Amino acid sequence: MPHLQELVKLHKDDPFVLIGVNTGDGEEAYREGLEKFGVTWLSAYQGDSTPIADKYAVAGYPTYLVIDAEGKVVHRGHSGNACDPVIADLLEKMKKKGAE
Amino acid sequence: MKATTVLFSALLLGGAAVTTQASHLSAALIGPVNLGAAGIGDFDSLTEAYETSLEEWRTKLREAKGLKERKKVRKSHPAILMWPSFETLAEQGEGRALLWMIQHVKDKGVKRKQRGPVLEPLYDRLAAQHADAEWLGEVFEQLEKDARLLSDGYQLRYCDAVLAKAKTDENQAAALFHASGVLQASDSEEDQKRAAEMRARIESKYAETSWAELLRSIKEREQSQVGGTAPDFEGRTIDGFEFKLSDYRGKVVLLDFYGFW
Repeated sequence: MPHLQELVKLHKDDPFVLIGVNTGDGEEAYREGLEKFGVTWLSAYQGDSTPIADKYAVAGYPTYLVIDAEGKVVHRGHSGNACDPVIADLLEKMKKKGAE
Repeated sequence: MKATTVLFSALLLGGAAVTTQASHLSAALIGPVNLGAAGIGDFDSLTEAYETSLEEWRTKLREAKGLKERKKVRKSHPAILMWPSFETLAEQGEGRALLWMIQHVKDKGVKRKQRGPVLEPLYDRLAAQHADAEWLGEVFEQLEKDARLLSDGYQLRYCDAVLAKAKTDENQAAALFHASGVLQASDSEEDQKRAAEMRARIESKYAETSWAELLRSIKEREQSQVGGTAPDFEGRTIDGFEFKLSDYRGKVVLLDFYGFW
């Protein structure tokens, strides 16, 4: 989670959004978790059901997907750190394109 | 193809609950000797009696001393003893008894090489008489397991037979779905094409069936892999804020599936 906070901070002025999808936590544990880990970003809460995770065939946690501005899945994996360069790269490309 | 198979099975397992709330037959009563047609009862009580006998048989096998005795016990497997009772039920029109027989050919002691020739006539009877069964999905699940025992092309012939006989959209779509799975696993381009056509037919002509629904969810799962278009979803925060993934088009999104547990 500290990694995610840094990531959000790093890209706070970029066209970037972090969306969490929580699965498997009871409401109380979830609220506690949000506070404890300082989750300030958008986070969907699914409770006991897992419609979004099912849709994405999530088989292990955590699972990260990097989705580009057109909605394409560019990266998928279980390591948060591995997403950083992919995100930076996409944002860089967008910036260049915008400057053209 | 792999994902298809897995999903297919998962769906079937969900729907394949076998009811066994039947009256309790004493295991001692079971066996062709003691069972006249009147003593068999219905399918549920017969399968329950079988399960009981199986437990007892397993205990006997565990306790058997020496190779010779174990061999003897093996020959008294309840599937062997109760086979004629299931056959009687099948002849009386109980399709699930046919499926039971298909599922217990090995327990009956039929050697591997002989299983195909025993299985195919049983499947033929199911297709001819029970193509509209609600539990048809279970049959397809079993057919998939038996694939290597059956002769070349048998699975497709079975699908054709069901498709010709079934009256419900649900079961016609089941036959098409299974056939498309068989064809999809083939190396031939022609077969792949036919598989795609079948799936397209399920999605158009049988759009209301659970099989069309399954195809849609398989597609979404494929789309959620690298290179796919991320399936849209509606999310809700714990405080009630509702959003859609598509609200964030134009931005780079990091989607994080997580739990605090």
